[in-house]
Amino acid sequence: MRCAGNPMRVVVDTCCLINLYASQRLQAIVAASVEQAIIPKPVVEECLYIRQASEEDPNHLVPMTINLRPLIDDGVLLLTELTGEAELSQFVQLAALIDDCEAACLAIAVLRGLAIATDDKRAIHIATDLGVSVVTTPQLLKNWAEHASVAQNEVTNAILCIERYGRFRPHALCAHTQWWAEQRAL
Amino acid sequence: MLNVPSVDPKCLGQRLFEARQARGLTQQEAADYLQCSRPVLIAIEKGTRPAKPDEIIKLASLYGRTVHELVRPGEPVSDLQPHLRAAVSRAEPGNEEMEQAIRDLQQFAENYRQLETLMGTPMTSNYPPEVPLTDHVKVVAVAEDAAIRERSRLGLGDQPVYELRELLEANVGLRIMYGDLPSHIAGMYAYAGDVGCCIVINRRHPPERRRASLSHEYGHVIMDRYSPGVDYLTYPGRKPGNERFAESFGMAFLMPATSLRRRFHEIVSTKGDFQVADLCRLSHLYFVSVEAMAYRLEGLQLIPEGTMEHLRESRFEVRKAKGILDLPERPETDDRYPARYIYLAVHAYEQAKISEGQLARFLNVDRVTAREIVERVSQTTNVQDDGSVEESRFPSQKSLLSNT
Repeated sequence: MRCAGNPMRVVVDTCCLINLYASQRLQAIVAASVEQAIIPKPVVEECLYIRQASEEDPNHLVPMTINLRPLIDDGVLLLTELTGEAELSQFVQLAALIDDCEAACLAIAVLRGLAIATDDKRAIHIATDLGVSVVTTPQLLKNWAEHASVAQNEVTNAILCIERYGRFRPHALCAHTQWWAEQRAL
Repeated sequence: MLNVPSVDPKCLGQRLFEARQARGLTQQEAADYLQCSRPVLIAIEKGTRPAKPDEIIKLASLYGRTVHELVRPGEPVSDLQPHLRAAVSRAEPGNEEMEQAIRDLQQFAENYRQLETLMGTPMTSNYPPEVPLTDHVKVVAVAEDAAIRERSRLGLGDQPVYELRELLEANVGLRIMYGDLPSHIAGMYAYAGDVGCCIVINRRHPPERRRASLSHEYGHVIMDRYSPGVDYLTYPGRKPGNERFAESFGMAFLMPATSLRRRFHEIVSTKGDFQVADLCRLSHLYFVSVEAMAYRLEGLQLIPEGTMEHLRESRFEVRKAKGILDLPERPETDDRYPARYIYLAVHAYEQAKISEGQLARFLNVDRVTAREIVERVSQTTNVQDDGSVEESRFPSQKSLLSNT
């Protein structure tokens, strides 16, 4: 897996976008770790819920609707669509291998020379084969923590929020799993 | 280098054809949407004129499908949808819920086959021999015999069966999903050459009813395997022979006569009576409704005919009675998909054979719910030496055959 440096323009896949949203610090992380976060329309349609603590019982989690509109309106996320014959063709080819969201992200990344932000193992394999640079949620958080001089408890809280409200933990083979575990424990 | 399979125009055409039909659109309507002529659309559906990428995307949007669903590898399950749709259109014309249920079953069958292909674990079928019905046989007696034979074949003896769905999937090879059917419908059944027997049971019904519907559908597998059909909670007038067989088979399979008679006689010899409370306890033991148990006991001539009608007229309340007797609810999953299907999907995801988006689509849930399902399937609970309970990740891919 090739890891892109910072700053960069990235297409953000649904899985990574859900994680960033669940962190409750999406704007700060994006601002500190990438030059531009781009989301294809199918990603918005697929980005439906995270979890939140129930009002009656804080230990019980209930669905919470994701609202990306303010982030798009404020320019934090740049909404894009597949355009041109080459992108459409690449998208349809990739859709034979993966779901529409991931296929749209990869098609745009390939044709526009962007990196992709994803934690999905399958999407990472395909991106690597296509020569697309990949960043993951742990890597974006690490960039944010290092470049924005974020207080330790902020980083820990962001990780805990992603785990609790996004139900995500990096898989064992992810390059920054160790960093994640260390930050979480601090 | 990425190996992208080329989209087979014939398979794509077949999927487009079925998707259009499922949406209830004519070729002309689809052609108008694409701004092409009807012959061009026909050629695309036949696979003689490959669809262009923008056409595939537009048609996916028109038919309410993802592009992945249309272009994914493998041939579509061809003979499931049209046959069921024909059966449904005769009985339930224009019922959108039923149309959706058929689409869901088709999707389930295709997804299941794709997961099995990806994981290299095809379903092993162990179907029972078929039982033909002729004009001069007593259907109920034939069904009773078939149920005894089937229990013997599956090594069940004559005791109650609790995990019926798991049993029929693992030991027989049926594909069983729970779907949201209209409340007056118990289930649907269809057979397709490449996926075998597929069953939908009404998820909205209580567990006892779902079990009765499932064993009824199993009766159809034995009696009229290749005839798709819809089963109702009640039929006006006399039921046809195949329905009477499935009904009797289902009851005999869930409540075997030998063990039921033995238990009934034990109760009567101990108490000198057989009371409503005993009826409730027996129904709980066999995990069937009180009504089903009463009819079964009537059929076995252990209680007088008309007992259930009498109870109904006297406004007997089953739930209240079960509460008074302190009979606990039996744990029964109402998961839409069977456990094996869920395991295959989760393991395919963990092995990077499918993406998170595909996983969510296979499980018909949003992304975070899909992650919760992965957690649930992949975690194991261990009791430590000091008695503390610890949750850990299940090492599903660790080989038990290598020494390293």
